[in-house]
Amino acid sequence: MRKTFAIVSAVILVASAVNPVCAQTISDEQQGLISSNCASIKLQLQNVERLGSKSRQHLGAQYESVLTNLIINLNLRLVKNNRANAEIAEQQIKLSSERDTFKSKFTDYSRELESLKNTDCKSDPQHFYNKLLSVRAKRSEISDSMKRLREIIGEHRASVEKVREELKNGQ
Amino acid sequence: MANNPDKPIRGRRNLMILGASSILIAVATTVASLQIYRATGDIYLDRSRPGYIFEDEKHSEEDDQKENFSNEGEINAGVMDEYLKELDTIIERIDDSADDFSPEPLSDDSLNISVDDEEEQQ
Repeated sequence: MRKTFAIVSAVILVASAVNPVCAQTISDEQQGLISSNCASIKLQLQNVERLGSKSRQHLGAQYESVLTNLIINLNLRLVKNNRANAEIAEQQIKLSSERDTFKSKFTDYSRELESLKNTDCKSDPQHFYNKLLSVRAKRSEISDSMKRLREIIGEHRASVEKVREELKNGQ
Repeated sequence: MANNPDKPIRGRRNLMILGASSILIAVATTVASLQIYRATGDIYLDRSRPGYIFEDEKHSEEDDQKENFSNEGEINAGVMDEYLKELDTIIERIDDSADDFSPEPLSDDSLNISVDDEEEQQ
């Protein structure tokens, strides 16, 4: 019996550690606010969704452009000129992989946001708030992915500058 | 050869079965493809989906992807300068959108569900 209790406690502990933000009891006052502002919250969510889609489209195009119009072509050109650069080749792989992560994080976020929009905030504000926490977590994952992509592009810029300096010095 | 009165009736029935089964198959495949469209997440990325983004809000592809670096030709410092110039243009656009997925629009304050706000107003 004690062993079962220990196992169950451990499972609950692990589960709460894995997903710590997706449940939070809110006060009656806040539940009342959610219920009374339900219509305007839904409108705001629609707006957030629309702006998010627009940003995803714009940023996705920029990452795609860096990858396909610049890095891949630069790598090919370097190889053709017998100046293959391992650093830049690795950045191409990293950027491609992180771009896919960005896309998949955005899909997860959109799914959660849609589910939140379909949740009744008037009659079940607590459930709605828990879902809102989950959407916030997904949104923050997109932001993290954007930061990683920017870092990779920054590293790439530094590598290109290094190549340029080598070329200037006739190496 | 006497006409069989059952024959036209069976033909009509077969035609109805054929029509009904065609409709059923069409409905089933449409439902299945929509499920796949949703399950794979393509629905959230499909720019051609009606209502996804308003036409006037769309970034034109020309604006988004006009940078291009040829994969042919020699490599020298001047070429790398040009490359960096094109890269910087895109970096600038990315940096302009750096806060597009900030937590702000979904915060309690933005959604007007912050209890502190309510207390301050009172």
